[in-house]
Amino acid sequence: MNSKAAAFARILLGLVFFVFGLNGFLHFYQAPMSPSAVAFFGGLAASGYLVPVLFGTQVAAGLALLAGRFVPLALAVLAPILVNIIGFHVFLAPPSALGVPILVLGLELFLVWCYREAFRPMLRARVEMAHEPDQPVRRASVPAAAR
Amino acid sequence: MKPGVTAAARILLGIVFSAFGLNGFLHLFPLPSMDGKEAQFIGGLVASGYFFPLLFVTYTITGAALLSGRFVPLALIVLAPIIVNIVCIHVFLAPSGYPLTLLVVGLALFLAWDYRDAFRPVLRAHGDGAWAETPRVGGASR
Repeated sequence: MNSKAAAFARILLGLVFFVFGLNGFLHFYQAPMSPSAVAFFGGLAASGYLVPVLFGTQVAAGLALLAGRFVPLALAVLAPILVNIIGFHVFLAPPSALGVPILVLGLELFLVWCYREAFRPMLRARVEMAHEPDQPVRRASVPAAAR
Repeated sequence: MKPGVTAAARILLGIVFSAFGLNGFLHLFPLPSMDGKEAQFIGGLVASGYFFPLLFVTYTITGAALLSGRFVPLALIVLAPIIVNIVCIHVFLAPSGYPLTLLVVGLALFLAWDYRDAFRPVLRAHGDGAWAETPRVGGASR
């Protein structure tokens, strides 16, 4: 993998989430919203917790990407948020506003591919647990074989 | 941990999410009524059109994964952000329904610990050097 491309994608994605995360608190940019989008965000705001948690998470994950620390974790935490960003833009926002979400999705998928080694054990269908689970089995099988 | 205990936790968590996932489509059992802020919040999510179908499909698929014992770490990490929100809803909006929430949190944390080896590389601070941004030389990491 081209290392400069990965670093560039990481910093760009970090910038996007850091800026949009901060915007959730400081409101320096307000996108025009459809009535259904207003109803949706009104509901999220009524929850009391979701908006600060969402934007706080975006700031933290953006900083992690910018710093290049905990990158796989940041990508994993951003994944479900990104699913909802895409859902929101497909169902509630005008198609003309799809540019940034598609860019963000592309960067995320590219970075997940770059860091695929980190995700590989988590994505296996069958997991061998190296810790305690298989030890009692092994211990039990030894006397049985000796007998 | 004994394999039987892990399997029991996995199957119990699988039953909870499969049941609530299927209930979203088939309405097998009634959910508690809502009012005030909680109704406003859930109403906003309903207004999105996509959210609840997506949520209940996710419940059903991850529940089936847990029941079958396939893709268990993936099911756990997909459920993690959902469980964060379930907990927040019960803490901030709906004080009822604590026992089931606590059960779900307990089972998920227990299983995440049991399957911790699968999550370990995702939680490392330095993914960079080893995987993505520097050429791999003899598997060396920074």
